Amino acid sequence: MIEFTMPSLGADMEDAVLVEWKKHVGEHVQRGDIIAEVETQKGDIEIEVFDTGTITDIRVDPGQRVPVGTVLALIDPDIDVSANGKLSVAKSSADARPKPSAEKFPAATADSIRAAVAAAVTTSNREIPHYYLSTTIDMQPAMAWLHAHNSAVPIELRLLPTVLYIKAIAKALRDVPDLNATWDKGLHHLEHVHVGVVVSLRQVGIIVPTIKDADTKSLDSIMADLNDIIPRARELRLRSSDVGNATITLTSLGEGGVDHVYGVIYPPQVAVIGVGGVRRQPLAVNGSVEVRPVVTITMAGDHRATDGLTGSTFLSNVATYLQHPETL
Amino acid sequence: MTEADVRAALASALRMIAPEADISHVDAEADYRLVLGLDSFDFLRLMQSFHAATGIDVIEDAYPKAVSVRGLTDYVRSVKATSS
Repeated sequence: MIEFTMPSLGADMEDAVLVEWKKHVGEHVQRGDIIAEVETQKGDIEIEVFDTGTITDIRVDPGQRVPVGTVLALIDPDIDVSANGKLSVAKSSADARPKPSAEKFPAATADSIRAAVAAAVTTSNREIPHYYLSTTIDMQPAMAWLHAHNSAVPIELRLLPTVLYIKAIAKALRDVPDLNATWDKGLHHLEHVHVGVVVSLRQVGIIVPTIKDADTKSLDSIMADLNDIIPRARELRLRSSDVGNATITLTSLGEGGVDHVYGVIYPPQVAVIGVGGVRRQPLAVNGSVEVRPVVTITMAGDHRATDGLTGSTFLSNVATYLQHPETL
Repeated sequence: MTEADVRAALASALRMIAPEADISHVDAEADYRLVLGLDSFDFLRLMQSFHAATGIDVIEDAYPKAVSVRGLTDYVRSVKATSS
């Protein structure tokens, strides 16, 4: 029997209200099915099931507020399908449970989102001794590559510089695994590279959807993920698989005009990367001075987990990847 | 397309992308991205929606012009003049 628990949808989430069950006792579910909707401080989120099987028990009723990790339902992986793959669930058992009430719950407000951000960054600055590094990178090769690419494809397939940053960060994390880790009384390396991307909700606050397995995805695939996730994030319509489980976070203030941004680490992650806007400035190139597009990339690291040398190696690798965009 | 047509096409696209952004009162020569708080992702989606609605493909080199209603109108006219 598999216990389906309230997932953590971000470092700042402690509990959530179960709003509605989308699946009921006796129903068959497949990995990826949306099983329920929960209300968090950052809005209603549809949560997905990670196993395939049949729901045998539902432990939490709509309207209940429960902490992360609470068992919500039991799923039996054995009685899910018959030999031909068709569902073999008795319909009567699915109907036995009364439908959830249509009672409405208050949506996320500007105040609740602000409060969630405030709680997360307060915890981070209280508990994590940050160290800070920065490097300024010649973006001429990356911008030229991007321009050539975007001129050759239809407008729907154009890429943004953010996609290059995400991929370069993900590849550099593979080279420096100590930063693809969490800190919990010790360093724990993580198998996958999932890059959280800070999305501004304009006046309201921020939300951090995740680009999963960014190190193995093509640039087009990362852009497709952004096209899918960012609009839903802004409408506060994220799914559980969109948030949480990031192994590092990228904050990019892009064209806002600032040159450097230093982030606050999202625990239990051990680093946050900041990318400023691309600007033109004089740069020494092969012994002469040229005006080039440059960008400053920063890193805040958890000094309990790693030292500055690790961060320095990582940022140097990010720079190298960005200077060879054809390798991304 | 007149300036009013371009503004209407942008307003229509913005209803999907940034519903709170009201372009109707933005000065025709102002950078509407700055006035409305649009980032590069919003702007790309805006240009994609504009293309879908009008058939005008705003190339990247024209982005500096396309960030104002008047500049985008001028660009649309120049594209139509070249193609006709």
